[in-house]
Amino acid sequence: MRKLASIVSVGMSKIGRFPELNGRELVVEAFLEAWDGCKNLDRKDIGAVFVGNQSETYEHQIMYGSLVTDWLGLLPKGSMRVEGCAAAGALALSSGVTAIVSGLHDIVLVCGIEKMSLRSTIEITDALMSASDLVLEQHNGMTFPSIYALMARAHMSKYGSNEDDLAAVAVKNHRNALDNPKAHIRKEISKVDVLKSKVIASPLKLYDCSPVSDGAAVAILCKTELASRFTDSPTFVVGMGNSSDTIGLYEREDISWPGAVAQACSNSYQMAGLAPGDISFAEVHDAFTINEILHYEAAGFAKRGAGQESIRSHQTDIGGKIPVNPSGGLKARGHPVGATGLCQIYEIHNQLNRRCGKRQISGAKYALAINEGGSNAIVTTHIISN
Amino acid sequence: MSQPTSFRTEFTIENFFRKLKEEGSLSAARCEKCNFKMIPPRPICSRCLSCDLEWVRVPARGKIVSFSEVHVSSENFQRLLPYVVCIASFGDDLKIPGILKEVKNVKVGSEVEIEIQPDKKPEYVFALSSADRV
Ligand SMILES: [Zn+2]
Repeated sequence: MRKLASIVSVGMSKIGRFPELNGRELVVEAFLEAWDGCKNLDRKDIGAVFVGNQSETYEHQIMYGSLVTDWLGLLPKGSMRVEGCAAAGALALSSGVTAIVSGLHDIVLVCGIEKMSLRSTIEITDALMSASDLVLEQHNGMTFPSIYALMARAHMSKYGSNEDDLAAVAVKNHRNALDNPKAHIRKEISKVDVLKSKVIASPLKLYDCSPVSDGAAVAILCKTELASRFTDSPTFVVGMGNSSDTIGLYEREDISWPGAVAQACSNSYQMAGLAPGDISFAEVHDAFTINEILHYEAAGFAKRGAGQESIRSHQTDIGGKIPVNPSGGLKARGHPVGATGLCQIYEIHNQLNRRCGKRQISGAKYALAINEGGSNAIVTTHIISN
Repeated sequence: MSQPTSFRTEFTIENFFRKLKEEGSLSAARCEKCNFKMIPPRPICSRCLSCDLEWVRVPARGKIVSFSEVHVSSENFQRLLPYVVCIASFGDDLKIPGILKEVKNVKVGSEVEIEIQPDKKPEYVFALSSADRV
């Protein structure tokens, strides 16, 4: 197994709605935690900055590469913003790992940021729709909840999953977030709460959807040989996958199968020399509850068409066979779109270092992160080890 | 030195909407090499990269593969709320998304017809076939 790069420190802002904070200030909050978490690091040795960010619609701000580099005192180092809708955070990580593997840089900073809550639900719905096909999806009023709803109903009619199964995903992830002090929503809910919540796009209801969140996350990466200089508790990227699918859901042979997720997972398993059974836990992209069930299947935790069995048998609970989203997931930790992929890495790095208190997964060795954008149209996966 | 020639293709999104208005139907591009169908059309076949394409008319009737009743939407669609979006299949090699005229009695497998509305947005909608209307 090859250690592609080392994660020496991570930081994350609190996730939630913060009218008093701008995006750049959330980045500073996340950075200070990561900075305090490593020793002997000279700012001058950070070679480059990669920032994941979804949309300029919210703050009317692009150029986050320059902004972050400046605000963190890293000028004149090179930087860029990477974009893949909600996959932006993991794309920033992949870009950083690639820069290290190539030998171009020894140490890089990767960051994800989204400040969404300035806008109304109607405006945010529109901003997110730009991640679907313009010609036939956006022009036909297909919102993102409705696109996932189409996947959900297709899965239900083909495989017999149901609204109860979706509700169970929300209940589990809310329960996990109760013990996560930085989570956006720390509120226990019941299946009935989910089933009775307002319909957003049938069969998906309010509690099937992740919230609109503000937040930022950062990670400091370095060449594996250097890691011990900066920390006693590094984690390592040992597998990486990136795969694309059609931007339009309707263009896929089977709309209930996230093919690019399966491909990206398979690529990262192959790179790490691991199989689904070797994974201790996963953080997956439950932007909508149905997607967690689809990701069980695509990651190989369940057979194709049988994802609902994993939630019914509590296999994905903390303490289950393969815990999924111990942080609370996008559903309850929150979903600041461009930051989410690195929020997943924040949880994984801390879990692998046994820092997660009541939600700690015992004996965790390998973790899988699945971060995706659009309707599983750009997918970036990482396998991290301790 | 010869002048660079600019790229020309009739298989454009603009022509897709022009044909919709002129012919009152939806058209897809079919690859003559591998039979792959694309809607809206593309200048090259994304399966085999061939440029040998032809226009084919989408069959009048299709079947609902999946649907969702939308209750929260963007500014442009507030006037339609609640509305149903669906993906319908037209034969086994073409799926098309669209808004369904009806909200009630929609099922996976229901038969739909395409209705062109050339002067409105969206330019086409689906309607449940009479047999599926209750
Ligand atoms: Zn072809």
